[in-house]
Amino acid sequence: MKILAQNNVVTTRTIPVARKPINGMLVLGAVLLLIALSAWGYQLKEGLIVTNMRNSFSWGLYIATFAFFVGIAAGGLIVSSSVYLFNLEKLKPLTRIASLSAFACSLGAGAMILPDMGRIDRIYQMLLHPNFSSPLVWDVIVISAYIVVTFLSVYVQLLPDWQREGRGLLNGWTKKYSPEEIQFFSKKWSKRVAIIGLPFAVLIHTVTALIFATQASRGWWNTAILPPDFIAVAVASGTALVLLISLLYVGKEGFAEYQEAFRTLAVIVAGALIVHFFFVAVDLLVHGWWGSAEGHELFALLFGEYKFLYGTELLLPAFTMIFFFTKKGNSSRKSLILGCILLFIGVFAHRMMLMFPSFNAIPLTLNINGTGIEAWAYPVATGAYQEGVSSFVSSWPYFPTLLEMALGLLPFGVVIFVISLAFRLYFFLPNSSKK
Amino acid sequence: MEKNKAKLSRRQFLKGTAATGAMVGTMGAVGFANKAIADEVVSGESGSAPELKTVRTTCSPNCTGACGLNAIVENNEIKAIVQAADYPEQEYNPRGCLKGLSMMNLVYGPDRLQTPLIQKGKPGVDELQKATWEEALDYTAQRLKEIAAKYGPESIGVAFQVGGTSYVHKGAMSRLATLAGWNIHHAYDQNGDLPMFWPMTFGVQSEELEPSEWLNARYMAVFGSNILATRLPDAHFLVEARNKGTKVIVFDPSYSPTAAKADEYIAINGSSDAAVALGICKVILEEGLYDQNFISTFTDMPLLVRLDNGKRLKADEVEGLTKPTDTPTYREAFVAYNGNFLTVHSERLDLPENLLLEGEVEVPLKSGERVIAKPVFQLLKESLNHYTPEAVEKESGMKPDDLVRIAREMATIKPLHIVYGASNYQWYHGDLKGRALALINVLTGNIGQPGAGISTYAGQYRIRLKVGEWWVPEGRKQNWLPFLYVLNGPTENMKAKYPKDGIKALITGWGNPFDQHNMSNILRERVQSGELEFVANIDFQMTTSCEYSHVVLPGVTWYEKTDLTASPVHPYLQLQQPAITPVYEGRPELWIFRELAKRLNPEFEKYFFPGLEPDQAAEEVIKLLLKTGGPNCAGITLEQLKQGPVRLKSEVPGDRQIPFYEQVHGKRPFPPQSLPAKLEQTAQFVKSGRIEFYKDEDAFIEAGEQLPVHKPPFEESEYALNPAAREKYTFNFVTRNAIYRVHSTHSNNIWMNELQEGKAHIWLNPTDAEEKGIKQGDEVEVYNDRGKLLVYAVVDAGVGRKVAMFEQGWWSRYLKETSYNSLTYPFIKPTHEVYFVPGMWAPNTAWNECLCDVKKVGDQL
Amino acid sequence: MKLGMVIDLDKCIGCRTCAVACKSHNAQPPGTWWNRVFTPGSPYHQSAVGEEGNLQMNFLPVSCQMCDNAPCEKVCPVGATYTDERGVVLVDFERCIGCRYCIAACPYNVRQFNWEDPKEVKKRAGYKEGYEYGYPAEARDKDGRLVYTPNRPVGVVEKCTFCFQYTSQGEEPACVQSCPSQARIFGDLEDPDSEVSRLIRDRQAFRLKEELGTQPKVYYLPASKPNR
Ligand SMILES: Nc1nc2c(c(=O)[nH]1)N[C@H]1C(S)=C(S)[C@@H](COP(=O)(O)OP(=O)(O)OC[C@H]3O[C@@H](n4cnc5c(=O)[nH]c(N)nc54)[C@H](O)[C@@H]3O)O[C@H]1N2
Ligand SMILES: Nc1nc2c(c(=O)[nH]1)N[C@H]1C(S)=C(S)[C@@H](COP(=O)(O)OP(=O)(O)OC[C@H]3O[C@@H](n4cnc5c(=O)[nH]c(N)nc54)[C@H](O)[C@@H]3O)O[C@H]1N2
Ligand code: SF4
Ligand code: SF4
Ligand code: SF4
Ligand code: SF4
Ligand code: SF4
Ligand SMILES: [Mo]
Repeated sequence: MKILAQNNVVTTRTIPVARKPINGMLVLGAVLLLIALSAWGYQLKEGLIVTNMRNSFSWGLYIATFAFFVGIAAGGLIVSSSVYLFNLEKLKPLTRIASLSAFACSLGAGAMILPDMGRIDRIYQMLLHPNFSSPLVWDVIVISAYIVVTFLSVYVQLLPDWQREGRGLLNGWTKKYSPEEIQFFSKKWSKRVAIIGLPFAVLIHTVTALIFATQASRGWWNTAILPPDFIAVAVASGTALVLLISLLYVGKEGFAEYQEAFRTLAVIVAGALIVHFFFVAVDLLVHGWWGSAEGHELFALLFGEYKFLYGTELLLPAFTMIFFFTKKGNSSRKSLILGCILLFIGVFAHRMMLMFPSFNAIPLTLNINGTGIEAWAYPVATGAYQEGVSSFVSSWPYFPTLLEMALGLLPFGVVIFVISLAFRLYFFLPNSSKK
Repeated sequence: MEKNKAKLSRRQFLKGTAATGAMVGTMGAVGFANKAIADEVVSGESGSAPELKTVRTTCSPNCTGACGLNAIVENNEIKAIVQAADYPEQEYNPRGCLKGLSMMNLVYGPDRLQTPLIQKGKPGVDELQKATWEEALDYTAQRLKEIAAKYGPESIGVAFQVGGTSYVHKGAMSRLATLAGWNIHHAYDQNGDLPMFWPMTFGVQSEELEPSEWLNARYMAVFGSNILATRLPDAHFLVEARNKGTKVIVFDPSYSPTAAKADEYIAINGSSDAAVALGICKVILEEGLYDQNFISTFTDMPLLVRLDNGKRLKADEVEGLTKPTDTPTYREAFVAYNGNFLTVHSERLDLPENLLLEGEVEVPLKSGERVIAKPVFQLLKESLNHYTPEAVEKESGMKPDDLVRIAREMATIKPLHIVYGASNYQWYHGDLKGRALALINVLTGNIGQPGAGISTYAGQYRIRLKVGEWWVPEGRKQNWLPFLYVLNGPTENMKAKYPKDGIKALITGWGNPFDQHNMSNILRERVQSGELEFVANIDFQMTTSCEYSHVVLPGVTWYEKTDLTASPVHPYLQLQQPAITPVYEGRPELWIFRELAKRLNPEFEKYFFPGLEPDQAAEEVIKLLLKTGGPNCAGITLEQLKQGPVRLKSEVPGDRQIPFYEQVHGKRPFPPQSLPAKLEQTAQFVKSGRIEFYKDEDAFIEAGEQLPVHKPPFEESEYALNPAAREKYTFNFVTRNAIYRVHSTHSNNIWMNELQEGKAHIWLNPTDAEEKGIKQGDEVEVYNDRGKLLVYAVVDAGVGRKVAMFEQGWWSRYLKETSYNSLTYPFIKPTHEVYFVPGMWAPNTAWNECLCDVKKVGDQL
Repeated sequence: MKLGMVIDLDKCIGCRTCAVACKSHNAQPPGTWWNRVFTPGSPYHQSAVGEEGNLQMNFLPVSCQMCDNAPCEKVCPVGATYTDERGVVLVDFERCIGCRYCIAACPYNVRQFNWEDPKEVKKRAGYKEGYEYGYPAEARDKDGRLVYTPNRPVGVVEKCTFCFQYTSQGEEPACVQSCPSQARIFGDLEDPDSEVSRLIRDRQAFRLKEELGTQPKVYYLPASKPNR
């Protein structure tokens, strides 16, 4: 009741925030969570056999989705730190949204990794026996840290509002201070957190990329380009997410007011994509130039079996990149939304493509001398049994099961729910913007 | 229950056990070797030590392996199996294969028979109903009595597969069949395992070198025997021999794993081996590379043959000669020439050296006629004239240069061992091919020497001891009927006695004829139409044959009973010993036959050790068999056997198994005895007492097969049956054996099927596959006018052109209810009907003499 | 001590007995194979490679290569995969969290995951009720870590243990004991007099994917026969 009243106050502000869509999103988030959690329950009962992952293709949609959310989680701190590092004052109003998006996405990423564990009940072993040579341990550490940092970032930025409105989280202590003091505190710490957070933003991508890039067993991953490319993609997609959320948050009505900020974001996205494509080109060149059997197999997969997905990965972001550099692309609300969505699809395809060529190019390939057979992949036992069906495969046409897709909704549910709940509860454009 | 003392691990890799003990630490489990030594109870360091027991038994499917295996047993359940590796000759350790080691899957698998079953509806269609032993045995006895009363007991056919795997329990079946006057179908010719060249040439059922002798050979020529699959536990000898410098050469239409391990692989056309062999012999004769002394002493080469009638000249016919009075009735005295005509004594190999081998002589007969006669050697030489390298190439595809080179190698590198595989003689002219190949060994004197000879390695055919006391009670007469007649009906020339109403009931054990035997579909139809009125099957699992039976009686495996085995190849006497009590309601077969016997006729019970538990009774039988088994097992006791395998005795120093060693080294007449036949039964096959290449019985003369000749396949079989087949069916349906099965046994073994993509396959040459539009993994129909088979394609460049190669042994349910033996045909070759001694000279099945076509499923013709 | 294995590809007849022995003695559920034998170059085991006149067929058994520099061990976030004092790479069944990072990391694809409760799979395969195959007792290392159990928990990774339950007793692994061709030799690589050390010295022993630097302790002896 009380909250509603205050909400009414909010609606009278100059920035109209669409309440209905937010309620709708909240419900959507809740529904997605419900679906995902029930799927998880079923998976816990039956085992990971309900997914379409097998020994030969042991990471799938879950890890790809995890990597996707890690990627878009970057945006928050990149936007806010750019404000401070590059004095991009235009973006300042969007820093709260940026932080919130980062927080929600890193929560989502963290949530996604859990159902991928065969024995989630033993997750405490990570605390008891962390093995620091494992990139996964570092990833858990940096992601946890990032969740904390992004939470703090949201927190310090919302503090002045909360103090003023006499509500919020963990803000009892602010009562002792004057609004000005808190305002000052918020400003100072927003900046600090953003700058402290930046290395974490870079780290989560680096470390997540290192999970893959360290593995000499998988040629597709085993490249030093993977971490910088992860960062490039993260800058692009993370920024695009902030852009998208902001566009939705300010609505048609507020578009004009923030148009400059939006355009700046679009250009950041496009710029990051240039870097990304540069890496892609270099990577393909390096894989292809040597002409090894593994390289051939990889190309056969990329441009054969997975040409559609690979095309999606390449073409959609390429379109967005070009589009966002054009006036037409970066200055209308619709085209910005379109560009972001296409980019997300492309980046999601990119994350899936981390898995496909890698797992389907079986690492143990052999050259068979004197027979004209260049590469032969040693078959793998799938780990699943069905009468009349082979237990050994040399490739696995992985496609996520319905259940996997349902469970894969988990981070989407988390992100949508957290963001819309936050939007519903608090105000995310700073007061300063109304002045 | 027998506890085994033998240690389990063949080698221990750690030197000191102290170090080991320290390392084990708090480990609860204690290794089973220690367990075996500690005998049942081990006080482990923690309470979780399992109570393990190991029991040594002999793996005894229809495979020549006869591998000693240890069952690791906990709580009356077999947990794992490992080779016993307890043969006194280290080179035989460890013996056993993937099938033997996964036998748990059959013992405890879903197809294990749980209770007796009775068919109350239509066989093959309706479900069999569970029954008590009482009901099932009563019913079986009643039906058999009815049929015997109506058609005579000889209308009841019995098949229990070959004997070496089970002297006791199979013996019980033989015993009952004999008492009841039933007809027995000898498994050896039913299987196609009988290499007819053996009785024709050497007067024996079949012989071979034991595999460790391969190491003594310097040249090993393998003609269509896939040793890596079908002699799996012995295959290492082949590789070791090769690495010791023995030249290994494989002749096969298809490139097999065995070919891959050989020094040389020669691709030849299907069933062209006789042409190759005779081509080789021609080179040997032309270049004088033969052993004149050997052929004069041990063979019929010096015997004279009358040109007027093609018969061998008998001493009794020749002026001045008489048949020695001590010539047994089953023998004949023939004639040789060294300036004078000489009587060739059939029991002595003592002719002078200067015999006429080439040329001709005029012979004055007692009748006053004079006839021209030539020595066999001369005739052979003339007949070999056709086999020029070029002519051989035309038939076989083998290059002339290769032929000449290999002929010289084979003639000069000694000892020479030829392996003539079952698959290769399971052709219509399999006998001719064997005679031609044996000729190479004989001409070069490669017989009866360490590492030398010709071997045919087939299933557990051979009987290694005298079993009469147990198998044939009180010397009664047995009725025998070759299985091919059951399918074909009687023929004009048959020597076996065909029952007046044919076979009306079938009792089978240790076999799965409704998949494995000719015209399996006809057999199925006969049961369903009622022509075959009653089928009872004794097995431990639900085979296709069980599905078509009226009564199914659950037997047990070699882990659940006591029996005595002796494999033909691997010359040890070994026990099957119960590791566990029978699973479900299975019963040792001896018990089943005793129960059946007493229901058929209360008088019969006394023949089966009434009152004794099956294992006790089995021990009594073993004692009887050891006592009456003759020289091969003289002195061997049951107690010794319980300690481990005991080598069978032989006349070769070291009890080695080298066929005809005694003949060659002791100049004894051919043949040695082939158990269980009496010598007079088999000695009639080689009446001269010598190795015979010239056969003058009428059927041979009619066929033009007095001497070994090459005859192309299909002419007298498929094309004679249906001339249209020449155009219509151009693929040769070859059914070989798989490493994953022993025939149909293990066809349902889950792990074996995992290893085969869960599917049955047909192997095709890439060119043929392409012509037929078939790709790797496609579903393919293999068919002819008689039947069809549904399988999946393996496209393999090693497969010969126009060969459709199938690994036989799949139960119908894995073939969408089709059957590979619906394509094959029970051809009977007239020369196989010249004599009849069960399982020794009888019409032999020719699985590979079969034509078919292939098409991708879904394709129209 | 550093335990290792030598597999003589010349002697190997491709019979897959070792794979089956491994499966049974180590209670692997249907669908799981710690030890595989295939014919390199061929889509189906024991079918020929090459073309008419130039055919070959070689067999290559592959199980855990027991890498000295084991990527699976390095990536394991909880140290469930570790190398014991004998040089054997093991998995602690009670610690593994089932992240499957090690599967992705292993260049030899030997790691197997229990996607489903093994008991359920066996039930589906139709074994007699309550029947379980495999060495019937647990085995723990000296620190009490569970490295073998016939009743495999769902959701954990497993692989060849060099038959811990046997080798820790000084016995040979099941695959070595059962190879009818005696193509597998097991022993201490650090002992210069051991048969494995001798064979590695005397024959041109090689290791799989040596270029990755995993330093396997499984060595192969080449088949001596060329194409024909
Ligand atoms: N087309 C074609 N057909 C062929 C062949 C071919 O090459 N091509 N090969 C032929 C040859 S060479 C042979 S030898 C035959 C083999 O033919 P079969 O001997 O009929 O075939 P198996 O599958 O060995 O059948 C043995 C049966 O006995 C059962 N059994 C095993 N041990 C025991 C026991 O102790 N007690 C009882 N009660 N039952 C037991 C098994 O469960 C199995 O069902 O097949 C022949 N059929
Ligand atoms: N694993 C396993 N071992 C077994 C058995 C089993 O079922 N499984 N069964 C046992 C029994 S009962 C038997 S009878 C034996 C059979 O043992 P083998 O005689 O070895 O029988 P196959 O496997 O049928 O065939 C071997 C080869 O013969 C070739 N071949 C076919 N026709 C010809 C020909 O005309 N000329 C030449 N040169 N080669 C030809 C085929 O291409 C094939 O490569 O195996 C015994 N061993
Ligand atoms: S199936 Fe034959 S080769 Fe294999 S273990 Fe048994 S007897 Fe030996
Ligand atoms: S058991 Fe021995 S011969 Fe058979 S596949 Fe394994 S290593 Fe090779
Ligand atoms: S082979 Fe694979 S599982 Fe084995 S030690 Fe090496 S990386 Fe680990
Ligand atoms: S699956 Fe288990 S053993 Fe493998 S890396 Fe994860 S925790 Fe370690
Ligand atoms: S050592 Fe043991 S666990 Fe490893 S492959 Fe051999 S049998 Fe399997
Ligand atoms: Mo056979």
